Amino acid sequence: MNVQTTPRTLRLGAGSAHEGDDLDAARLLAEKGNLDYIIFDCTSEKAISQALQRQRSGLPAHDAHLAAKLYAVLEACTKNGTKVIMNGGGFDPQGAGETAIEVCRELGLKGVKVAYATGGNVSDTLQRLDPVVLETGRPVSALGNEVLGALAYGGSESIVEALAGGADIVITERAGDSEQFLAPMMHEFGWTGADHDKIANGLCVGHIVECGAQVSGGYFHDPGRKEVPDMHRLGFPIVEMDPDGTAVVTKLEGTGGVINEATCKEQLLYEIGDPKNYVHAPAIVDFTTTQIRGLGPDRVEVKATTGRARSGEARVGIAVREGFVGMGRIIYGGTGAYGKAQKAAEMVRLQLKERMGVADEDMRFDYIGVNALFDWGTDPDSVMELELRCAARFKTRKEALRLVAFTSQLPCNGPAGGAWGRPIDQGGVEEIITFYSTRLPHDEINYEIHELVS
Amino acid sequence: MPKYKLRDICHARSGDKGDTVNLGLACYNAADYDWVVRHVTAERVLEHFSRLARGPAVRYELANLASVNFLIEHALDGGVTKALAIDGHGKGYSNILLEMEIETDEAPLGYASSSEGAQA
Repeated sequence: MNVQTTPRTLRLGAGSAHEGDDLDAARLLAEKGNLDYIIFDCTSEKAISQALQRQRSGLPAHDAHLAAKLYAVLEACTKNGTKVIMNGGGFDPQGAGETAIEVCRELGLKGVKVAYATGGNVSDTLQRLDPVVLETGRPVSALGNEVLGALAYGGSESIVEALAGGADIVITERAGDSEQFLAPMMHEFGWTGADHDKIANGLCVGHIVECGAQVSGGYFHDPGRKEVPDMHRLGFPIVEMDPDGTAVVTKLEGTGGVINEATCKEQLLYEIGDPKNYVHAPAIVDFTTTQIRGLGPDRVEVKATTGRARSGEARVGIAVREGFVGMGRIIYGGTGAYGKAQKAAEMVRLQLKERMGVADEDMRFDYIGVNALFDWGTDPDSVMELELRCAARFKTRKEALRLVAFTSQLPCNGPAGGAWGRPIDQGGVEEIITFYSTRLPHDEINYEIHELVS
Repeated sequence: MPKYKLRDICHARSGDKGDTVNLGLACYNAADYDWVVRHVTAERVLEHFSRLARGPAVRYELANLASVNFLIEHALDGGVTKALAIDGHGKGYSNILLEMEIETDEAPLGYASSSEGAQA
């Protein structure tokens, strides 16, 4: 790391919004973005539950695409002096660090410093302190023996510490998405915990870009209202951050998609609660002061967010096994398609009830093409084809598979007009891993940085 | 009284936190913000989603972004991990909200008056 004598504008790229995002877009950012940092959000509740399932099968419990992400960007990052920050350590941060070293060696990159943080796996601390679960109001111990694991949302501190130690690649177990963007700003600009407004600006712009292409044209195209060009090659966002906390959100010239005031506003509003009290580990953010202003094509200025001191507690996600969902699907066509599908649904409902004792509240039947998302006022009898989707909850995988069987028997044994698709069209079984949350005092979580060199 | 569809006035994005859905609604034309605050109340939005969500619902105002944010509890069939409903993430709820109609004599300026609408 070159020590910055004069703070200047930092360039941060968003390399992924989730575990399995578009690596070609990340590669382009690393090659052409003139970036100081490329930041990968690798985690979600789904990714963590899949990591826990891999762990039970003896497979690595870190981001399964971690190596692929590094293969995509590392040569360009080394050439351009771009550092990598990623929260894909999951339940195996050491394995993630060692994987990063292996990738460096295979690419012939010598002397790359990899830092991984441990300490966020707080299962033992939860057993000892038994705090209250926010969703249930009861202690963690009441969740029983189906708890699979617990991981704290890390703040920016361990990333800042790793960067101060000269790391080229920083891997955390589960640093918060926005915190990953805040950390290099704090490190490079020397912001301290008392710089609440600057921190809030960093978290705000981090929040706006953490979902990657969702601010550069993803989830935006609406025909006749908001048109997005070249969506097949969306450019991922770049943040240009000034030392005073003023940011510009932009993307590489020539990439697909669009960044404008509307995309930034939508993404600011995404997954927030009370906009005056957006609680993060480093600060509480107030979005009601934020200014968003278009500067030109694909350039939007984001500034003036304010912040207050943080809560002093870290949020912890607790993964709990809660049985299985079984699903079956079949498409009916022709006059009376809705009536045919209703008859089939009634067959499956009675089979589940009479043969297995499944209660009505544990099953659900949707008519896709009529009212599965919402009752739009469509006349069901006017629809010439629709899909029946049968779903139910079960204790075991074996029981859940019976729903798939009942549905796959419909083409032979059910009403007329049913199509007979491939097995993959007909449904399947998924384990339910629910996430509960609790809070722990920061001083109960002891992050440690470990360094490896390729 | 004339009816106005939100899709002609606002754009939206929604997401989940457990069994709670968040619905961010932004005006195409900032001058419509007061209209939205007057007419698109938490009660009306909860009523629009009554088949999907039990509530309660609250609304937060962001005048600086000509936007409002709704939070509706008990809205995602228990939350994405255990939901039997198709959209446990509530991502599609944004476009369900945009289909909501407001009946009023007070006409909003709407999409056509915005810079996006003027270009289209």
